[in-house]
Amino acid sequence: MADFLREWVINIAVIIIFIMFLDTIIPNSSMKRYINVIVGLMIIVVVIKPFVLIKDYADSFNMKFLETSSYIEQGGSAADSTEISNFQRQMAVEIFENNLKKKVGRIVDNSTDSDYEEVSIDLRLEKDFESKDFGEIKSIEVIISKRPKEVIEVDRIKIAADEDAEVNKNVINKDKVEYNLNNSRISSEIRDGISKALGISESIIGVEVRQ
Amino acid sequence: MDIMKIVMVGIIAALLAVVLKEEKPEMAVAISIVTGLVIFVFVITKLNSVMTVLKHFAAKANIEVLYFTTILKVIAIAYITEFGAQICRDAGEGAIAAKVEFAGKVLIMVIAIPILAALMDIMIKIIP
Repeated sequence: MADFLREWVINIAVIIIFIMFLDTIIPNSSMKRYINVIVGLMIIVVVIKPFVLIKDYADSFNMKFLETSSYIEQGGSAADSTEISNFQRQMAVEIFENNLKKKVGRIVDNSTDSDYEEVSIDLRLEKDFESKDFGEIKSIEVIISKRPKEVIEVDRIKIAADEDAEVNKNVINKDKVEYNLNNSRISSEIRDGISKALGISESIIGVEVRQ
Repeated sequence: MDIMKIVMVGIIAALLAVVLKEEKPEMAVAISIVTGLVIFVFVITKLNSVMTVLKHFAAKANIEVLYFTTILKVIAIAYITEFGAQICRDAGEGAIAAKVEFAGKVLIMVIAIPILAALMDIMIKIIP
């Protein structure tokens, strides 16, 4: 009981000293009256606090205070908050998209050698907030192009015999098939890597290897 | 000394404003606004340290933060409103100044309403 009384007296004394101090700070204008009203309310609250505590209404007081203040704050900022939350959602989608692109880019880098330079990644996401599948990846298109090689000028070559031409033709065809095989191997590797890393079906991943 | 700096800034700005008032009254208003802002910002940083000490003591004396923050908010609103209203009055716009003051009063009342509501609630509960 003594502790309780001591705390009560300290509370009253401190708040009175505090208000006296603040009274010197507050601007000397018509505002002073309004500030005094609030300060008066404060003093009433501090003085009647023991009764509140005896009746165990302290929680009720705090609850009512918080309830009313949140009601007032919500009323003023309801429109602002929807706008802000929409903006935040958009930003989140953008960040998600960029991170996803970076990740796909890393997978492509790991799967290909340094010959491939230009990598373009096109992502299609479900951006409709209302939709059930919001944030789901619809498709991924990866286009990688080979670094352009320098053209070496060579002297004109004369092919005399028909046989030689036939041999050359075969060789060229063989190379082409090999080249296509290589491309399809790279694209399937990339597709597999992306599918495993992101946990999505391979059917929505398109990979194109350009010369 | 800080007060010397502030007073010098004030006197120089006042002289400039008086000189410019005849030739370019709009520049005089701009000077008064900028001077007000400079002094306000300068003083508000000092006031901030005072508030930190007061908060520390309030926590030590076991005063509820609820009361403390409410009073501080009210004083801040009063100061800012006063500042804005005086600038408007200096620019010769008494009507706008009155509106700014009105807005300040309403906002102070808005802050007071939760306390009032809680108090009324307790009163009704205590009285059988």
